[in-house]
Amino acid sequence: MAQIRYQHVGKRFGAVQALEDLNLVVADREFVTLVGPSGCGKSTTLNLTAGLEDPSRGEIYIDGQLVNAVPPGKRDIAMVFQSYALYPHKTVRENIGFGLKVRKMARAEIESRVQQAAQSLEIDHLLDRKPRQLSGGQRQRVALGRAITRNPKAFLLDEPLSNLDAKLRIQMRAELKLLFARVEGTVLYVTHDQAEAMTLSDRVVVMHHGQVQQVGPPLEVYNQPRNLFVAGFLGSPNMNFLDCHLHVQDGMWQVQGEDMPEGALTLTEADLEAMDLLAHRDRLHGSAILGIRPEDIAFSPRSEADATDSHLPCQVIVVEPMGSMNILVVAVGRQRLMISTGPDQDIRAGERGWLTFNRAKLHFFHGETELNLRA
Amino acid sequence: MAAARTFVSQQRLGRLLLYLVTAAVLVAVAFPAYWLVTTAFKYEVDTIVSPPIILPLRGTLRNFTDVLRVEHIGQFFLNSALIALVSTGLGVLLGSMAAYSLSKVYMAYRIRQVIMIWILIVRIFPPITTAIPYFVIIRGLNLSDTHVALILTHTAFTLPFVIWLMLGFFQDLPDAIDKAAIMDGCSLWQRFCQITLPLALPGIAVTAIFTFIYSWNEFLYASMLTSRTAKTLPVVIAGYMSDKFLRWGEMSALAAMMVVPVMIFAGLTQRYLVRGLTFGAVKE
Repeated sequence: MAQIRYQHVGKRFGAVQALEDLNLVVADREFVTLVGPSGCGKSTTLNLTAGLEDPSRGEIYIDGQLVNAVPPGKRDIAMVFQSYALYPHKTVRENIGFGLKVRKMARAEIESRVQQAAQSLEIDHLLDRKPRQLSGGQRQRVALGRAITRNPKAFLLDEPLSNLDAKLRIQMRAELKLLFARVEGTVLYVTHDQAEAMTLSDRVVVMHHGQVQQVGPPLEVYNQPRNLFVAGFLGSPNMNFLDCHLHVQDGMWQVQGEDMPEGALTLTEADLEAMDLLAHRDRLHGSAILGIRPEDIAFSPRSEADATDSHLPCQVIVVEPMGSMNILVVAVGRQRLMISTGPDQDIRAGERGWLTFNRAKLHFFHGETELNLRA
Repeated sequence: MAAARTFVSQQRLGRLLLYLVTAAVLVAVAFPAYWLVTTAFKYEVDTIVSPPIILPLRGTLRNFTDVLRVEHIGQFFLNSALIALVSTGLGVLLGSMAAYSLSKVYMAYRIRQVIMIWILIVRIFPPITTAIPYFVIIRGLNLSDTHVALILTHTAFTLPFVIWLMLGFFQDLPDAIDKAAIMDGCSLWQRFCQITLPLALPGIAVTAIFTFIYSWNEFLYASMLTSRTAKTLPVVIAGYMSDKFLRWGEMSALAAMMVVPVMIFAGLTQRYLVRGLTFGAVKE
């Protein structure tokens, strides 16, 4: 296993800058996920690492060795493709062992490695079948088997679960985590599914427009998004955003906006402390964007909210019962917010009430730069 | 109710028309074959009577025995087979390699287009226009009346066809499979032989059938570049036609016999014509 290091790596396709100045170190045995919307440069990064594309500039090191000029087959890296890319004319056994055969490994050694991989993926009973005789999940396992038999320096996985149905995807997600913990692999994983990014990774790299937006452990990125994009991309349902205006009055910070009447949200120094914003209090003025996650908003019917000091009047528009929770879509003025509540709270569409924010979990983003004011 | 009945009767009429058209096409396609086979079994006098005998009531094997008694006919048959098989093999191999590189090597769209048209040019002008230069070149190379002369010629003429056809098949193969093979450490040649060619077998089968038929039936260059040693069957057939006689019976008998190897070759390659061979490789 090995470390992968990117130094000022960029890739340009004609007029399109697919990747801009990537600087990243994937540690030995680390599971790093590149996440972002399509066209954000994550697959390009993977292809550059594999050697399927050449970087326009910068250097890529695997295990300390500069690999820019090393052909893909010599980089000792395994890749799992979104489409599985199995060889349709070869059996499962031949598919898994093909990379070893190309490397001229002894036949007995190939067979033992294939058996080992097949057993660990529970596909040892399918070894003599052709890919067309397998289900989607089984093909996925064969593709993984092909990667792990080689004992490569690193694994590159390009949206490996996105062709599976929702149920199987969740099951395979857990198995992937177990598998790569067992083989102690350095893994670079690409997905646009933030749930995969959150659950699988040691660190996530959020990308957008060819640029790295934030790198960090999943919960850190989730709880302390560096900018508006990261905040909006991670989390389901999405983080809510409200345009607002900040000003200080009597030592308190007033958050107001078109849809937030005066006094709806007032922050004290203690609140700022909880938000980790006290050191940056001078930034809290002028136009900003308030961000709050659905689980950090509480809805209460009119009668109970009289006493609270910070609250927003709202009306419930849609109730989506998910079983384990309810998702409410509420109207605050002309804005729509999403709230997740407990499944037992009996709320009907059309009901009016009050929203209370968990003030320690508020995020403020700069109105123009969209950077988190805490950053 | 009346409207519904009209609709049904219209449908019936439509179906009837469809059958008629199908029958007409079938007759147009099958009649020449029928005519060829029946003529092969006709007495000489029956082949030239007017009106022609559509349904012969008597037949003979005389034409066949006459044809088989022609001097060196076995050798001419072997010539045809050898030249057709070798030029098919060469054409398909070289053409596939060219098509593969065209499908994999990155080049600007326009450049590829120019190359593709350039390749096609060989087939654009009528073969007769290059006949004299070919004749002179082959004679200059001391290759007149050799198998090599015809093999080279036929391969050259089938290459553009093979390249164009195979390029289509290669471009249809999923790119990810090629990438997977690259990651597995395959060289370009290994990818071509072990991954791409097996997957393109249906395409190769189709291409091979067409090139085989072309070479097997090719007459112009065969008659010009061969005289005795490398003479092929189409040239023999032409020999039954002169200003003094027209031997319909023998011509048809030999032509009917010539169809048989083509049928066998097509039958052998047909099992590769399974569609959807790449099914299961990648999830679309």
